[in-house]
Amino acid sequence: MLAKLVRPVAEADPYPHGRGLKHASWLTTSLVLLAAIGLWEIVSILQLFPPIALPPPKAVWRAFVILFTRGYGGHTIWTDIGISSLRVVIGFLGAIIIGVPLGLLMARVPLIFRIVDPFLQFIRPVPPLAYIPLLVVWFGIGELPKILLILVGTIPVIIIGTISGVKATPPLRLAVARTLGASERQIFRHVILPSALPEIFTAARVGIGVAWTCLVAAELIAADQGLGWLVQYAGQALQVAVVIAGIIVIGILGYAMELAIRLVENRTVPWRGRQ
Amino acid sequence: MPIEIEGVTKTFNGQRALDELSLRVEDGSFLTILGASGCGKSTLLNILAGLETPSTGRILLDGTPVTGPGPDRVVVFQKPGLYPWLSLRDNIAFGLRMRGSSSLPWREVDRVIELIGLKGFEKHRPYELSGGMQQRVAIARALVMHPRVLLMDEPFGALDAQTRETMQEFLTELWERIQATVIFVTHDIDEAIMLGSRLVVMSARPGRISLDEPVTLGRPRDWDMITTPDFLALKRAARRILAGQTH
Repeated sequence: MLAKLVRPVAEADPYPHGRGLKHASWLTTSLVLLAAIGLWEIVSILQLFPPIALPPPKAVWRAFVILFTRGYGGHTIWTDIGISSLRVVIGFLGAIIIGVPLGLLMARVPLIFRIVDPFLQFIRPVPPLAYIPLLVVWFGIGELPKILLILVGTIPVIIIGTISGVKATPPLRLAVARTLGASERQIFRHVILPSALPEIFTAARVGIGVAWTCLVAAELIAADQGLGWLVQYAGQALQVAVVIAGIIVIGILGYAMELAIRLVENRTVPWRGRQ
Repeated sequence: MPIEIEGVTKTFNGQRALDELSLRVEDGSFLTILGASGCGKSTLLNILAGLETPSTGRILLDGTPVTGPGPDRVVVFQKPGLYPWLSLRDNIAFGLRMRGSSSLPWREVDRVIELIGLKGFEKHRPYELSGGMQQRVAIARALVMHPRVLLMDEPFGALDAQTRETMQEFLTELWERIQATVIFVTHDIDEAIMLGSRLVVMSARPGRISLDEPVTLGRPRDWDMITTPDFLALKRAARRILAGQTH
């Protein structure tokens, strides 16, 4: 009887462990979230920290409602979400549009690699905050320096991911193309580029996270709108509930964009991890 | 219109992988090259393919020296090396597409797909196929180019025993039909004798030809032949050479 119940499932599902994990992870995630909120509630009831430092979940929820209805600083949070998303998306797309071709060139032409790499290694460890004075002096206080900051912060990830994707092309794939008479140009276009795509997507997923990280720094530059601005502005006014609400919105948006990239990835490189 | 290997030497870091190797392969023959790993047989195949250049000596194809890879000498490697972003049909058509012809001979592609018995799988991606199927696609991808020479580098080495046997039968039948020259490298004695019409055994360090004998078994080949005196005599001779190599 038991075998009868178990067997069809085992046959229908070629990846029982994978599915099991996926199911468990959803359950675990919800449980962890609930437990965290519960713990937060308990800690705030016990008043282990002053309410001004750690407002209870209810206060944060109220802050949410206010942010979405009346807003903070003269506009609703929708404006902040819109402007911040726009900055992140433009900066990120700029990093992709410049970073991917540059990475491909660097991987293929040693001279270009030698020219660009020192700059790349130099800007990589510099925290984005450090560029602010320079960007303001050079580009003023409009949208351009904000977007450039995000772009500069994100582009190393994209370039390095692209280069490593090119270098990771299995030699067998190249040898096959060569014996079938493909030219170097054709090999690049038809073998190396698709082989590098999975790693480029990984870089993009890491990159979108970095772009959001740079956002708060970018909105230190004379902003009066945006989620980064909201968090700082509310922080200065000791509106911790608003700060927490803003952080949660940033986290959700960052995660949503990562999921969007993953969706494109699954459609573009369905062969990933299945050789 | 033969392939001539003329005094080919290959040196890696001062080590001689191939030592003054000369061989003449007649058109349409099935030559198997047998040797222990590290005897330079794959190096020889890569030189024939034009993927590597000999340190000295040269390869002549119809009297013309080989200078690089070309679709007249396609290689089938140990692993299929299919492109996962292409369907089975597009994988097979890859070489034709690289040739740059404006209209691809799809009818020929489909004929080859039928030849390898994978009709109905045209739209499948490589990772949806079994190892044996993938290797058949790799062979089809080579065949569709109508190569003068099919170079095979232990193409069945990564397959399980049953699949390997099926593939060996498949290749033998195929060769009888297409009558291209096949140069087949392997370390499996039975496979080398079973498939080839001529057997070359290489010894290692430096890579040299130690035995060069015609395989006198009739065709079609059959695995029952492995008990015939001709088979056993050849196997004994080959084993003696290979055994002398391992200390």
